Amino acid sequence: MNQLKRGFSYWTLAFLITTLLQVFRGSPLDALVFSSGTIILLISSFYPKVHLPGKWFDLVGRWVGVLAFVLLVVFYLIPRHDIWMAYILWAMLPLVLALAWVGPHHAPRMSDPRLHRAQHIWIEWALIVCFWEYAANIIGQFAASNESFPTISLVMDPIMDTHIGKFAFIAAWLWMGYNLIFRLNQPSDEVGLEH
Amino acid sequence: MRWVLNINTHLITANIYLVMLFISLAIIFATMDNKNKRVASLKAMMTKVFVTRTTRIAFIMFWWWVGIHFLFATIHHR
Repeated sequence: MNQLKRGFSYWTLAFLITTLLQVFRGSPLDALVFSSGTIILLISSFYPKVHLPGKWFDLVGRWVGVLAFVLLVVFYLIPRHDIWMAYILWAMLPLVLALAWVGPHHAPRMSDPRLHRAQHIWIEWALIVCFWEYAANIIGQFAASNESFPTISLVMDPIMDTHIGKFAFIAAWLWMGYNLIFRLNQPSDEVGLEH
Repeated sequence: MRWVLNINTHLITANIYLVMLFISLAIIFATMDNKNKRVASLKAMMTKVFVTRTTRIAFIMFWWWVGIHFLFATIHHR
């Protein structure tokens, strides 16, 4: 489904395109993140699968859940753009990547036609949003203006500068990360589709 | 004229993001609990898709980048 051919994933291509955009944008940090991501995805495409046993993965999940609550408080207390924010986030990266790397693996199963329809809706919608965001960024670069064609992050900046906005973002972001690593990563039979 | 999120910027361009947000929420709510029998919920769909290591790493890497982008790096924008 998400394979161009055996071993190579569309995600690698998506990250490579985003790396080029970040280079065009002149953002070394983002270019570093997405180029590293491209390399990691390429390695992942060809490297044999490694799994942590399920019970260990669940145990780690519980501790990471506790850690997420600690991080919620810590991130809220540290001002945005503070260098400690970067230190903690960079320290998190190897942990979350390691957990994504050793998580359980199941071959994609899309037998239900409703899942195919849902997948198409989300892929097409995600592509529209991505194109809009990329276009806003590129046109904004040419216009040399942050405000004429704002990107999502510029639009959200005023919200993120409020306490409630920052807290809501951190909580939602940590919750999504936890779900991505531990909750959605289950054998698909666990989510039933009631008729 | 300022737009609803109170940033002095291009009115139409910025508000299109709000429309995008509402469309995303509409898709989520329309498919939640499989009320829409023709389309599966986001969770059911993601659980089926989000199973290979490469997909997982791609999502996690992007998720982490969103965090560092909004919490640390946006001040360096452009």
